[in-house]
Amino acid sequence: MKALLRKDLYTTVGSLRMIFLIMAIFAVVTVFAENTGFYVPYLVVLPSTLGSTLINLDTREKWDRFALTLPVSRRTVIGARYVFMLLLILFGTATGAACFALRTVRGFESGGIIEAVAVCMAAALTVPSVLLPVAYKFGADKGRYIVIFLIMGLMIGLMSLAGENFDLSGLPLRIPAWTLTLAAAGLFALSWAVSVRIYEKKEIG
Amino acid sequence: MNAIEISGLTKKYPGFTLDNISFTVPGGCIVGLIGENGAGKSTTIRLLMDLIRPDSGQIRLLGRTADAALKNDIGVVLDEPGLPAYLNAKQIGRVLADAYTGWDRSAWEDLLRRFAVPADKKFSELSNGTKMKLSLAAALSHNAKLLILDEATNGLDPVVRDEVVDILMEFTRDEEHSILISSHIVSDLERLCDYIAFLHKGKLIVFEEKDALAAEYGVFRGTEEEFAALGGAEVLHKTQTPYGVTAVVRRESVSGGAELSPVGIEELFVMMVKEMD
Repeated sequence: MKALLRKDLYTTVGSLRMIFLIMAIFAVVTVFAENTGFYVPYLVVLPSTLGSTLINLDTREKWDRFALTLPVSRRTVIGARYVFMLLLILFGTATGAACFALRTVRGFESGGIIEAVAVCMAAALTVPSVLLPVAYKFGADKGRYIVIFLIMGLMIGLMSLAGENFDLSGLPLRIPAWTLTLAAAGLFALSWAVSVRIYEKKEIG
Repeated sequence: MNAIEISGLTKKYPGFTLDNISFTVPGGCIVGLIGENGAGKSTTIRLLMDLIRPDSGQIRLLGRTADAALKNDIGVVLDEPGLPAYLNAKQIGRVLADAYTGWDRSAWEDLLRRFAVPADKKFSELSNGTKMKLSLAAALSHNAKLLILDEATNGLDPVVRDEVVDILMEFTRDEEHSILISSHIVSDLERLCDYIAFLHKGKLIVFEEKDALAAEYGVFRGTEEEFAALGGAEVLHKTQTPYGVTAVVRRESVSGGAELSPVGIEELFVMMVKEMD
């Protein structure tokens, strides 16, 4: 697994460093400008979107084929990708939490940091949980469109079910923030298991 | 012990079937898998490496069914190397050192020097030949007992190809070491291989010791009258031009004192394909 993690790290630093540059700019802006708190969730979620990009690169460069000639199982290939995503999510969460904390010190925020970070982390865990299995099943490019259509379909379905009275404001949405994070962590674990099942049956031609 | 045992291997695709392939790679031997493009060479190798699943048949590598740990003993070069584009040779070396229990760093550095592979250049910036050399260096740097090489001499200039052939021959001096190498550049295999497995349209047409193949067939060159005098000779393929007849014939079926020249594997392979099409 260490080899696969190292490869993902080198690839991320080598080819996707623009993401980190964007994160650095967001981080500086949020710490120094008062009305920029809405950037912090981006900081947390942004690294978690790299999963399907990495799968896309693996396919394009034929690394997915080469990796299976190494002494690693298909389960380990998927395990390494999910562990790497988890590390990216932790990195994004730590960066976001640090920015929130600094904004609080500067008087831009009035508390609720932990709750805000927990909700952002839940979102960051959900993105790869949905994207990765679909990308492993259908390929990263096709998978991205499938996820977009799924979300659109879900929204249209909800709106047509609700009819003219589509209003969520009356719903009791007072769920504790960490419950959302725990639910997202559960979804991440489920997604990991589903991806293993998909990849163990997949033909890498 | 056989390095590879394949029996009844079948894989069906729309429009192509790898059909009931069986052959072995004996320990200490080099087997050349030859065939035209689309004959099934890469499909066979992908099945061996468990990249795709067979519809039926058995594969045993180094005496057992393949698992992740066994791949420590197998060096692989695929038709497209598959190494990460943004990594340089140094970084690739570190990744492979983490992957293989038997990684030999000094062998790796030695091969990179020998092949003149720049250590700091990204893989995507290397020429096709250098990419292939880097892949070969990777396959040869973890004390593998079996090399599986798919079109590994493609893209190499004749001088480097010659050097690679020498390195591969050096590798099989150890009796425990074996190679399965596919190529459509038959001249490389002719120099290198002990056995030839000839695939055509998904079927294994010939699996034979190279020297036995050369001894079994001969080339007749002469006039039409001289050819007619061969009588009931078993002709594999015949080409007629205004200057005379060239035919590949089975030596034992030729009676009398007709003079036959030795047949090269490439010539034999081309004649067989022409005869079957």
